[in-house]
Amino acid sequence: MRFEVVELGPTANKVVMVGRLDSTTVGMVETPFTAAVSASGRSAVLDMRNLEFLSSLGIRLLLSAARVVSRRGGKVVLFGAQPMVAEVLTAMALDEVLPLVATEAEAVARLTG
Amino acid sequence: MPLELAGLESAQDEVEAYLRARGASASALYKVRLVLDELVANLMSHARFPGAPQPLRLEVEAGAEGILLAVEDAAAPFDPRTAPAPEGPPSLDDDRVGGLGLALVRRMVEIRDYRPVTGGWNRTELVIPPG
Repeated sequence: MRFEVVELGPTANKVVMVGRLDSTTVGMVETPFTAAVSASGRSAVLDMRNLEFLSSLGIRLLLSAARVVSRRGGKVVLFGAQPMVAEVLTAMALDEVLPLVATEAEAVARLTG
Repeated sequence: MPLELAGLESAQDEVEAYLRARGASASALYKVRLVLDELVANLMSHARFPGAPQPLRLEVEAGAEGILLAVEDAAAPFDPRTAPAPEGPPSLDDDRVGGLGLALVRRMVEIRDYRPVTGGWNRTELVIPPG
C-alpha cells in the first residue's frame, strides 16, 4: 500500500490509501502511516476508494492509529471503501471506533458532529 | 506455499489467477486472498513447530458449490474452529488486538474441517461459496 496526506484545513487531514494493506505491506507502512494519520492535534479522514484489500493486520494498524488520534482529542473517519473492504470492516463490527461513510463530505461532517 | 512474507504475495497472486481463470467472483477472490493472509500471519506469529518450520501445502479446488481451500501445516495442533477469539467489537481503549485474524476468517468463510493428517501435519479445510 502507498498513501498520501492532503491537508483539508487547520484541524483535519485526508490520508489517501492506495493498494493492499495486508501482511506483506503492513510492516513497511506501519510507522509512517501512524505518524501521518495522527499528525499533532488533527483529525483524519481516510480515503479508501482505492484501497483494494484489507486484512486483520491492516485493521489492527487502523485501530492503533485511531487510538493515538483519539488520545490527542481527534477523530478518525473512513470513507468510500470498496464493497469487500466494507464487508470486512462490517464483519469486525468496527463502526463504533472506525466509522465508515460513503463520501468525503460526509466524513468531514462526521469529524465535527 | 512459503511460510514467510517473501513469497506470500506471489502465492496469493498465483491462486487468484488460477481461480479468476475459472470464473471466481471478486468477492470469492477477496476471501481466498484473505484466508491465505490470515493463516500465514497466524502461523508466522503464533505457531510452534515440533521440527523445523515447513512451507504450507495448499490445495485449491473450484467447483459448483464454491471454492474449497485445503491448507496443511506442520505446526503444533491448533484448531481454528474452537480456539478463543474476541467476541465483541474492538474498542479504542484496550489493546485487545490478538485473535482478530481468526475472528475475521470465521466471519467471512466457513471452516469446514480441521484434522490431523499423516506425518504430524494438520489439515484445515475452508469453503468459500460462489457469488
